[in-house]
Amino acid sequence: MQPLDNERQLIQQAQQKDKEAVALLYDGYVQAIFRYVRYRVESDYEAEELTAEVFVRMVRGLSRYRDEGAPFGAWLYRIAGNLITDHYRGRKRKQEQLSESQVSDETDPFGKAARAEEYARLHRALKQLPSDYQTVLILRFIEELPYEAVARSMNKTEQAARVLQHRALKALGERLGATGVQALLRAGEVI
Amino acid sequence: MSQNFTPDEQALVDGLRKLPRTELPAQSVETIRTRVIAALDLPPLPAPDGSALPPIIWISIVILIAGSVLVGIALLPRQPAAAPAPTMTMETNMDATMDTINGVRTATATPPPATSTSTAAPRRLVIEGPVSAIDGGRVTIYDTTIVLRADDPVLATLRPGERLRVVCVDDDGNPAVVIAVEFSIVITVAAPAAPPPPAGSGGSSSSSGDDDDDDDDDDDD
Repeated sequence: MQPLDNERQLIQQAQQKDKEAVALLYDGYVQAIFRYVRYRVESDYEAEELTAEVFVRMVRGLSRYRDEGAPFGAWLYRIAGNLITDHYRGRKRKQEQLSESQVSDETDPFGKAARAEEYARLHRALKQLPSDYQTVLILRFIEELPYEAVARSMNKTEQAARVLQHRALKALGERLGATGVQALLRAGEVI
Repeated sequence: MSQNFTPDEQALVDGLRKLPRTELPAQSVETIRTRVIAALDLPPLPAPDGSALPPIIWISIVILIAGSVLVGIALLPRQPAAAPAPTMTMETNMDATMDTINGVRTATATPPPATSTSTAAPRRLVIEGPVSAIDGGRVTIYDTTIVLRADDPVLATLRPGERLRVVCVDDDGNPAVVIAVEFSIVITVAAPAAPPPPAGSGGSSSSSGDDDDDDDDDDDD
């Protein structure tokens, strides 16, 4: 996640309700935020709804945003993380609101895309981890963010982010089990 | 991002990096963009959560309030009902200095030490009435038993029918349990209905009573 060109200027313009600047900020971060959210929730539908809410909150909270040297994306990840936490708190209620058609239309993107059961299992294990563990692993190894950006996104120090990553990997390994990790090693050799 | 991972950790990291990356479909990108631009017309969000008091502050406030309430309860005077019932033991070193003033003999006694574990402010009571029974060191007035030391000198002079006035404290609300702080014998001498007996014979009642008391004391011993 690299900062956008002229990001500071775009933010200032967006704070003045400049639609074009808001659109450019949205375009620059929407896919990264969607990916992050998609790894954390069950369906494309939920991920799209939450992604939309992240950017709506971005717009409504821009007047309070202060550039303190952190990437703008770190702020967006933090908004997304809070929304996902809220989402899981009210998940039962939300699932009741979803219609049958919406649920049945969902597909497992990993089954089609990867066609590898081991990766699907890895993703399931990832989603069973505590929220902080999921976030650090997704941002570090899927979004390839440096420690500094991960730390700022999670409102932690870099050292804390390093410790969290270590614990998260350990927890993921325990969740998968020795056979699961070995299967992952073999899958890695094949793919 | 050069890090030293164990083989297992490296397998997990590689696996995470190879997880398929889903993209938001173009149509959804456009739909959401429209919603985002429309949000420019919405009012700004209220104060962020960070401006509110953090949970630790709320927890501290609750603990402080609870602590204050508990301390207040602890400092309140104890209710009489909660105080342990004291046992009334009337111990007196009565000097038995009796005078006859206008037909009334009054014996004053040193206030006995009250034995009580109660810290509640006691109620002051006065019991006055005829002694209905004397049983060793026990004196009964209106069904209230006052325990005296068995060798208390007052027992030598006290007789059933004589009036005893006891100033005592009642520290648990039970009138049957009292602690005497002072007492006096009030003996009303009846006006003589007959001429006084001849000199030298003495008070028959008095002497016989003394004998009786002595017998009682011997029995007790």
